Amino acid sequence: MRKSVMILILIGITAMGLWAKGNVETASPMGDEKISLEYAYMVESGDTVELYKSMLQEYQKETPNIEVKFIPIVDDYAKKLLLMVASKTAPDIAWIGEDMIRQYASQNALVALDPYDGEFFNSSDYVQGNLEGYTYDDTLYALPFDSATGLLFINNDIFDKAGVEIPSDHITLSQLKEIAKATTIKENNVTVQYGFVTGTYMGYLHPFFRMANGTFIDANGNTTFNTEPVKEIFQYFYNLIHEDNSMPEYGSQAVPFVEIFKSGKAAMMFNGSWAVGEVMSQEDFNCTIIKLPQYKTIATPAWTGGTAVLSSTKNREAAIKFLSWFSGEEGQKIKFSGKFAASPTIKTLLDTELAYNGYKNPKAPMNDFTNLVDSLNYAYALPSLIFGNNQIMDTIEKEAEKYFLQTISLDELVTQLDKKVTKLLNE
Amino acid sequence: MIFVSAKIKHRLSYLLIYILLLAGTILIILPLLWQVTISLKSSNTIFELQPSFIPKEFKISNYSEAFKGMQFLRFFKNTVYISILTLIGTLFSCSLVAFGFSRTKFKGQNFLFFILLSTLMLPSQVTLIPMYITYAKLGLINSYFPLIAPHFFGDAFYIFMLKQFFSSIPKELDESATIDGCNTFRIYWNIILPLSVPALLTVILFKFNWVWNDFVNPLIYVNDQNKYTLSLGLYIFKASEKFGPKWNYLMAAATIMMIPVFTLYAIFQKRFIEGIATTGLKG
Amino acid sequence: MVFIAGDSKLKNQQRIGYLFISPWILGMLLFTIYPTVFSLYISFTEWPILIEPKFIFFKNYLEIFQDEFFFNSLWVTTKFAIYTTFPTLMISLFIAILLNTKIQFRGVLRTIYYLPAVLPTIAVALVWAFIFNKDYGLINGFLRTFGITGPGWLADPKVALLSISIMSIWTLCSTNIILYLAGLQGVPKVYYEVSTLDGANVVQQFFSITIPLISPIIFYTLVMSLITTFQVFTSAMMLTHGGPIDSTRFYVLYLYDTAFSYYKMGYASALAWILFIIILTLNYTIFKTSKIWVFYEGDA
Repeated sequence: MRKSVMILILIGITAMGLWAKGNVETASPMGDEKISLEYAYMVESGDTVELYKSMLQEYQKETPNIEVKFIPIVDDYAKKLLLMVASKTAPDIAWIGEDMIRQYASQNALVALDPYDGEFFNSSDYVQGNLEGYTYDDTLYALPFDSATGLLFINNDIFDKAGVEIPSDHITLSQLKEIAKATTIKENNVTVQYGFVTGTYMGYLHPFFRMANGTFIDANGNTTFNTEPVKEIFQYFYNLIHEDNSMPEYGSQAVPFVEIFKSGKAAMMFNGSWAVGEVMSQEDFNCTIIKLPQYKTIATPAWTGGTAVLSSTKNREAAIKFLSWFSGEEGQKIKFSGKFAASPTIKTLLDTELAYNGYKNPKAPMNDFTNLVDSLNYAYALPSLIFGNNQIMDTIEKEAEKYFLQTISLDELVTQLDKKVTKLLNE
Repeated sequence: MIFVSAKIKHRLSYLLIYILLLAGTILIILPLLWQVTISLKSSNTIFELQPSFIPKEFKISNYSEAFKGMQFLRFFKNTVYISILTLIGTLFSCSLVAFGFSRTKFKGQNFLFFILLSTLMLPSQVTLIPMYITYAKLGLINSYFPLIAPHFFGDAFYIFMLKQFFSSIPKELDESATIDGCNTFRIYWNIILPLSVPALLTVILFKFNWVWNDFVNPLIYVNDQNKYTLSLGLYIFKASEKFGPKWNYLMAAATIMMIPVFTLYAIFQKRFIEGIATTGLKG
Repeated sequence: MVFIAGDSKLKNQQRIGYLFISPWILGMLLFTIYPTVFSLYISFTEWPILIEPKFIFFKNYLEIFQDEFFFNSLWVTTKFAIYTTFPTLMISLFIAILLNTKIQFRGVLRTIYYLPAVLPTIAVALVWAFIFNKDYGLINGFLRTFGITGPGWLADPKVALLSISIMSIWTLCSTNIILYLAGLQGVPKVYYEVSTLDGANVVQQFFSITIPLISPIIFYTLVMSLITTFQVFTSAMMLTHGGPIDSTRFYVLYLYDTAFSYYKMGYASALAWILFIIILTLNYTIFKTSKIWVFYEGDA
């Protein structure tokens, strides 16, 4: 009896000890003048953490009175940031994706940056298409500090073997189809080599709709799925998959298509430029990158990473100051001198080697980045009305999946899309 | 005659057992072997139409990359620290509570036990925010407190498990001990615990495995990279959706990570039998 | 006098009981009550997380019963629970009994059978993604040598759920085997010896001795399997993310998306409470019926 009480007390003391330990560790002494900021970001690859540390060191040399603490987050970024905001322990500054802007901005969780334009940063320094992704209701909420664009990757060896000339500029959509057909190899009913691979995610397919002058929503905010250009592109991919068998079946993405391309089992791949490093890092892999195909118009998507200041911060000015440096020219110069697999968002830096420095590999055969830099300049941001709303995105994906897996017809698809997306837009 | 045929029958049945177990072993081993194979391949030879278990070239360097990338030594220390404290807390609290539920009688016992179980039934996704808010208010985010402290207050999974094991120990033992003048705590400490060594080892094993591989809680409550656990280190190779995982490094890291738990089990599995043999009361 | 003494002894007994379970009671007051009540409250609100919740009474609950995804995910989860729980139970009990016989290399075999449980979930999921891949996967590669074209194990909506079940059985079996093995150690060997002398064969022994004596453990695994399979999340999140065509959109996966991807925490909380009630009812039924088939030596 007494012993059990003792043990309970012991447990209690241990627990209290742990509690106290936690308290000591989190309570950091605040100096009188020193401003302490917290910066949460998503770790996209292992090298990022070290790189950001070195950027911070450089910053602290210039501005010793602002101290920045990093919170690297390796997975489930959106959830963790939400938890921090909900518990009122939000960081002052946070990495933010274009798809998060609408939610955060519409609920006043972010500081509008426009009033500080010209003072701490110049929005005119940035590539226009990159800023668009962080604009909500004509207000800028974050500064883009790395960008990627869409490219068509070509496996030179497969092209040579098939006797197809390696293009250097835009090809057309019908050329893409022809080449894909010519480079697809089937053995015993199994496709051993695909002509074309890409992500079965709307973010990947969107530029193709845009190429055909197709949109999902018109200027009045009405959905426009049931229109010729949209249907045409759906049909185009359907045929690639089911008629020509030159593209893998739509469905699970558990094994990424990059792996298929990298291991030499696909002639062409459409992917973001982030894959350049991944693909080029292989020494015995002959690859060319060209711009996206052209149809009625040219369309190249931009995917950017950005940084925003959360409205709960107590040091708004200092946070914006840091943000402007970190996302600005000076920060990006350090960032892209290191091995960061993306491109800068500052116009002037696109003319320098820094535009593709993160992808370079002296041992790899590929070293022509002209197409990449060109694409960066005119890339567009994915429309936030659709891409900033995960529920709409998921709905579109699911319906598209049904169509590509042959359970509904094209007409059913576009009618369903119009119906369901309209309903969600009105919510 | 009858004697011989019984012997043959006996042999045959053992042969059958071996065959069945071997078939099972193959099913168990293949995916694991595949993991090790990937961990030794270079990134562009992972995908092949005719998958081969023997890589063309053995890239041992994947392991050193994984070791470095997940900052093994530092994160290992953190993980061990958390694991040990968690195990101490779990063993004490769960065995006490389980004993209370199976060996003592009090009002509302069944009801309270059902409440205990039902705490497992609400998806953690919705209690996450209030939990986080609580810890944030107490200033305990970015400490190991939220990872360790709850284990000192019992875990329904293991309480239930131990209760089931305790229930299979004959009640006569308690009764005779009471007559001999043992109080309830002595029964717990001197009779039930020694008799439950296999069950307690099972708790240690399962809990250690769980803490070792737990990724959700460290991800949520730990901010500072110096405080990361191994499982968080592993996720560095998973990277973001657009990059896709670094398959070979990830598998190498996962292989390194499973060694401690595996070793613990290899040691324990003998004790499962010895634990019983030494008490000698039941067999 | 005697009566009063007995009463105080009973009270003392009770106090000891409460003392033993006090760590859990304390833990519940500290860690469980608040989040539970909070989530119940949130389920009656509209809460996009970034701003304050707004009370809307039963609107979430009413909406759920018109939500096709709710019914779909509940159905998918139920199927998964059935596909997974019972095969796991039977396979692992069978293997545990085999591993408990006096065979050689018993230690090695036992160690091997526990391996799947040791692996980090992410590694398990990625390895199986490989195994299940339509073109480059192990299974289809193996089938191809016999000239059979295998299905897209994760890409075909008709097969995907089954594939995830197979993977889950693979991992769940190993923990259950350990549990059964530990349970089997507690079965006195005398019982078998006596029944052999009585002329009982192996099958009869299995049903009359083994099953009743480890029924508390079987009961435990059944309850736990139901709780975990109804809350399955990680494997589907990594392998299929609910697809193809929602065939693996498990309940908690839908709940998670609703909460953290669609920013509808109120609705997600209502979903959680409905799941809670479902699991609770199921387990309550099992508990009620357990009196018939679970045999506690302590009670005998």
